[in-house]
Amino acid sequence: MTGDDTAKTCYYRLILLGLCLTFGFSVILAQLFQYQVLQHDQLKQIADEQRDREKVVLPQRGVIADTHGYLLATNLVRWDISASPPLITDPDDLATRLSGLLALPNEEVYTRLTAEKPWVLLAKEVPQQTGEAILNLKADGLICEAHQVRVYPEGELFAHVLGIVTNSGDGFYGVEGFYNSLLKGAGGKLQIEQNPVGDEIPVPPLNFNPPQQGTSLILTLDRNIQYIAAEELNRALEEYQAESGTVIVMDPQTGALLAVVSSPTYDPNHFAEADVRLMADPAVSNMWEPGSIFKIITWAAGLDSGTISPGTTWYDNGAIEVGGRVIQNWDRRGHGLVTMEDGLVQSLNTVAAFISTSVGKDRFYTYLRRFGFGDLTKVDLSSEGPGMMKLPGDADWFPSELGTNSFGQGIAVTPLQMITAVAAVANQGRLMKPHIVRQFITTGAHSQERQVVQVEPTLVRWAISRETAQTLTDMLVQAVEREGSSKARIPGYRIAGKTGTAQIPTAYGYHPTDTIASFIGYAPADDPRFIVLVKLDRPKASPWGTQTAAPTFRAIAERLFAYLRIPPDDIRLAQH
Amino acid sequence: MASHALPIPIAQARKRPRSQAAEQELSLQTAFFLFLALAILFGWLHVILSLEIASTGRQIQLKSDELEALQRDNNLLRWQVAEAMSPEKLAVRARELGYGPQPPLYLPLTKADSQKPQP
Repeated sequence: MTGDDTAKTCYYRLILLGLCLTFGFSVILAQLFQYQVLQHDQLKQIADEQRDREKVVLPQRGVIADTHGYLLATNLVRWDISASPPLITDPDDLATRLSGLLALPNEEVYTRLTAEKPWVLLAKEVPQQTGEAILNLKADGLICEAHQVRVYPEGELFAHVLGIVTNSGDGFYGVEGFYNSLLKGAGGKLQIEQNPVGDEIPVPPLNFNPPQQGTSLILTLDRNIQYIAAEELNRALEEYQAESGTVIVMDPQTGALLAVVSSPTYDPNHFAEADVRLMADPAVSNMWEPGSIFKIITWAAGLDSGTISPGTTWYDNGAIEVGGRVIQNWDRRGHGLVTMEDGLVQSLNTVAAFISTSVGKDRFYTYLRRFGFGDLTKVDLSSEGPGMMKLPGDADWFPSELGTNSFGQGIAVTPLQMITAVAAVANQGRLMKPHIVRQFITTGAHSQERQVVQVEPTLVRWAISRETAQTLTDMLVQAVEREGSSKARIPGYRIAGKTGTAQIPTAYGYHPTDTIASFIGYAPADDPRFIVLVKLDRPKASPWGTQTAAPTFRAIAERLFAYLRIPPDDIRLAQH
Repeated sequence: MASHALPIPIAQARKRPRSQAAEQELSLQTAFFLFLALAILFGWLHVILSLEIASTGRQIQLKSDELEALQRDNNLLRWQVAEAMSPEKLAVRARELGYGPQPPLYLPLTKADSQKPQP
């Protein structure tokens, strides 16, 4: 081969190589064009989906505190501990350390850590400190997942009024149920980058939409008053062998609830083990025929309508017939010529029926509606019931109901409705809306600035005139001072109040022996600082409210005078 | 006809084009090295910045974890304090120490007392 031939061969080879390279690069360029231009959007989306991950950032549920700021409900963390056995390098050592922390047998933990499974559960609901200690082991293949749980430092004391929060993060019953959407807040979103294995790449997040933390609530409840009420209620249940009971303490001038206690109760920290029937708050959900404490409303209607005055007399022969039904007194005796004040002091059913019939059915039921009966009080508590009040014109209303309703039979009310209505008498005739939240505290999603919203007392309506309220208060003071309710009397203080002993309706008429004993009273009578309703269900020691509920009221009121620093009337009035 | 143009010395005529080419070559080299230096500089800056971003991101992540852990601890402590201060527990402890509820003592105030001039 000559030199020219060799040069030609090289030349053609170079040409061939050039063509191959050109073809190769053309293919690459074509592919690049395909990926970068033609399929750009589609491939970019796939890449973003592989790389970007959206994490939901859960908000903190708002805390709940009493009027002085003492914590009533807050959040803690519980850990679920699991493992991925194929990733564990030293299962023997890890089992030893975990068994000590989880209080599980070493062999059991070792068996789980060496199982031929991709994932095994080691423990659920591990307390916060134990979980943190396990997290600090920083062992490969160990998975620690935190989740929020609601805890109640006061345990059973506020169970009914606060309610519960389930594992799903939703509140039920009480304040938790009523304000669930506010307390819960709204979740945020965090967009992060991850590697092909799914681990987070430590670069600043692509996008962060912070969560809206739950609103915190400051209640009107005072934990010390709540404790006093609970302690005295439990003492009364034991002493008078009652099945159950409720005590409500309210500020009559604002409608603020100071204590709401019912027994039996449950521990909201372990609500899963509790009887579900105990969870609804009897103070707002359960209704009962109130009996004689309802006479306060009848007397208010009589006085306000001008039908009676405290000195109006009526001859009580022991029975009165209303709508074909004969109504008798609790002692089945006639008391002769009595004034309206005597009728209230001696709690005479006949006088009550005389007043309601004299007022007339239309006006009488109008007054009942004015006091809020038959309607929700619209308190900010979950599961409130409206009670049961039949009205003239209803298919199941009979003329005799005008007589029986006057002394609290044939009408069913909730404890909250009853105390709200009588609080109107204490508050010079103004019916206030009961409420349990004093302040809402919200923290902004993008700033730490706190916004505080104060709840102002709400006047619903004037139930009766100021003069009527004053007159009725004086009569109720006499009811405590003179007779019947003497066990509610506290020397040095003017207390306005009324006892009640209600029969319990059954499918076959009223129960022959069981009763519901109650007392409602407020003090100081001229400038009430609190109103207390005591309700004891089926007391065995005595069926009478005078013997059971009245002394319970006195025990609570005595402690409230000391706690609220209310001096006896002569000292207080002299100071003014 | 003889040319009257000034004669150019041969050496000079040869030198000028050679120096222009050299200058061009030099400026191209300079530009190339400048470009290379800038590219290296930007590359280096990019790497450094990426490193800083990653490092800061990691630090932020660690601080966030630390903050979360502190918040968890804080919540736990607040709960423990609230539980320890519950009236039920305080009452038990007070009784153990011999304390108990006492009725308040009020001194009677006569009209004469209330009319005394205040100091």
